[in-house]
Amino acid sequence: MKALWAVALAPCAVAIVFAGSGAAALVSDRPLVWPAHAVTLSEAMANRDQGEVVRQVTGGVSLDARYSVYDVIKPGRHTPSTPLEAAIATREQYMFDLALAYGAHLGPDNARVLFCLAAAENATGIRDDLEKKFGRQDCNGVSLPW
Amino acid sequence: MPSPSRLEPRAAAWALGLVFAVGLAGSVYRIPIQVSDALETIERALAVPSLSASFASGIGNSPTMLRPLREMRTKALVDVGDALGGRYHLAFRGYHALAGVVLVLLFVGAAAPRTWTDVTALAFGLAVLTGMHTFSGMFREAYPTNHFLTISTYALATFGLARSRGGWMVDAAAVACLAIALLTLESGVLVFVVAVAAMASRSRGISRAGIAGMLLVLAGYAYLRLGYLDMRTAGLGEHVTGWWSGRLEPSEQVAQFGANPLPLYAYNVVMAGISVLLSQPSAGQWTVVEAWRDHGLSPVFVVEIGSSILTTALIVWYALGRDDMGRRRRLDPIVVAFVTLLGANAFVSWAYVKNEIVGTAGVFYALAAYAAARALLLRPKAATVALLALVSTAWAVRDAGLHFKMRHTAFVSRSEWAAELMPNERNDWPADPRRLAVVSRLKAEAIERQGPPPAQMPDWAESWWGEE
Repeated sequence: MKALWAVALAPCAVAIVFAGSGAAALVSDRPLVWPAHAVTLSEAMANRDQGEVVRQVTGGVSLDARYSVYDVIKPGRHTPSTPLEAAIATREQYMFDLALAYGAHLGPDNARVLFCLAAAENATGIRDDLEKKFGRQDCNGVSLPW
Repeated sequence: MPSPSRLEPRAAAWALGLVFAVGLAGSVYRIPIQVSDALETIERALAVPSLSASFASGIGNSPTMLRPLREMRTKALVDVGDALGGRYHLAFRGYHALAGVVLVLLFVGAAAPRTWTDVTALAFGLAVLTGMHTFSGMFREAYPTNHFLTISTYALATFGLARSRGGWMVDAAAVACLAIALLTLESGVLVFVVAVAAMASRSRGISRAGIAGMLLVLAGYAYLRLGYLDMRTAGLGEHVTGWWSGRLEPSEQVAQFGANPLPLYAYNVVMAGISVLLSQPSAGQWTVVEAWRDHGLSPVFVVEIGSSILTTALIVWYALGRDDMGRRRRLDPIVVAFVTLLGANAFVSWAYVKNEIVGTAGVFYALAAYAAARALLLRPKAATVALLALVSTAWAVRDAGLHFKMRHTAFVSRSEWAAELMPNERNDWPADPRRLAVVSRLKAEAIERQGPPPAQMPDWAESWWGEE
C-alpha cells in the first residue's frame, strides 16, 4: 500500500532538512537553516544579542561610533545610532550596562542626548541611572537620533 | 542467511536513524557550553589532579547527591579539551552530540525494524522521540554533560541487552550499565527497572544471575548512600515546581506544605506521569490554562496536546489488543517496559517536576508509539493511515521545534558568557592562572560561535513551537 509513505513523509522531510543543515554547520560553521545574519554593533545591541556585542567589541569594533540599524528600532527603516543609543531602544538596563562594562564612553558630552533619548523612549531605569550620575538634564532643543 | 530483500529495509532503517541523529548532533553542537550549572562544575574539575581524585570528590561533596561519575566525566572532558589544544567546546559539545547519536541509534536497535512497514513506523517513532517535550531538555541543558541523557541511554542499552540472545557478557554489561547510571544520577535506578520489566515480559537476554548481580549493585549503592555516607534524599522546597496553573517557589512550598508535604509529592508524581502522555502539564504547571486565560490557545498547544492524545490513544489500543498469534500485547516487552518505567520515572519526580526528569519514560513512550504504529500499519485502512499520517506530521512539526528551541538555547548560552570576565570587574576574575586561562578560553569559544538572535527568527515560530 503506497499510501503508507504518507506516514513517513513529514518526519523524513524534517529530518533530511536538519541533517543537511547540521552537516553544513559542522563543515562550514554555518547551518543552512536559520543561519546568523551579519549585523552592525548597534544592531546587535538593539537585538539584545549580548554575545554578538562582545564578539564584535573584542574583535576591535568601537563602542563609540555610529552604525546603521535596520528594521529593529524602526520597522523597515535604517536608524543610525551608537551602541549606547541602541541599548536605550531596548529599554533594558543590562544592555546599557553591558556597553559601559566593555568600554563605551559615557561623559558630560553625550549624557544629555542619552538622558533625553531614554526619557523619550520610556527607558526609565536607564534615564534614572543617568540622572543619578549627571543630574537632571534639560531636553529643550536637544535633537534626538531618531 | 537473510535475503537481500530483507536486508534492504534494515539498511534503510539505520540510514534513517543516522539522518535523525546527524540533524540532532548538528543542532546540539551549535550550543555554546552554558555558564549556569556547568562552569562551576568545570572549575571544580580543574582543581582536582586526576580522574580518580575527581571520582573521590564526587562522593560526599553534597548531603543529597551522590554523583561521582558526573565529576569524573567532567574532568575527563576537560582533559580531552586540554589534549585538543584548549578546544573545550569540541570536547564537551562533541561528547553531547555523540551521546545524542548513540541514543538515536540505540532506539533504532531496540525497534529492530525488518520490513518496509517497520521502517515507515520507525519514521513515526523517531519523530515522536525527537519531538517529545521531555527529549529537548536532555539536549538544551548540560551540567556540563546531561545526566538525564546518560540515564536514558543506559536504560535503552539495558533494554537492548535484555532482548539479546544473552550470555555472561550481556549480564556483565547490564551490571555495568546499572553501576554507571547509579553513580551518575540517583534516577539511574531506572536501569534496574528496565531490566526487571524486561524479565517480567519474558525477555531472557539478561539471565537470573545477571539480575542478581544488578540487585547486588543496587544493594551496595543503597548501603553506600544511606548506611555509609548517611545521605538524605531531595526534600521539600529545594527547587521551583509547578502547581496547577501556577508555580511554587521553594519558600512557598515550605509555607504551604511544610507540615505535610504528601499532597505536593502526590501531585508531582501524578503530573509527571500525565505529562508524558499528554505533553501537559509542563514541569508540573498546566501552562495551557494560563495561555487560554491570557491570550487564547496558540498552535503550539494544539499541536503538542493533540498529537500526544492521539498517540497515547494509539498506544492504549495497541497495549489492550492481541497480536497475530492471539497473545495479549500487554505482555509485549515494549509495553511492559514503557508502563513500568512511566510509573517508576514519575515516582522519582516526587520532590519536584522537570520535563527532562521523565525523559527516560519519554524515550520508551516513543518506542511504544513505534510498536503501535507498526501494528496499525500491518492492516492498513485508508482512514487510519490518513489519521496516522496527520499525527506523524504533527510530530514532525514538533521535531522541527526541537531545532528551533536549540537555536534559542544557543543564543541564551552565548549571552550568559557576556557577564563573565567583564573588563570592568577585573578584581573578580579568577586569581589562579590555570582557571583564568580555561575560563577565558571557554568564553572566547562561546562568543565566537555565532547564532541568530530571536529577532532574526521567523515571527510565527514561537506560536508554533513555544519559547521554552
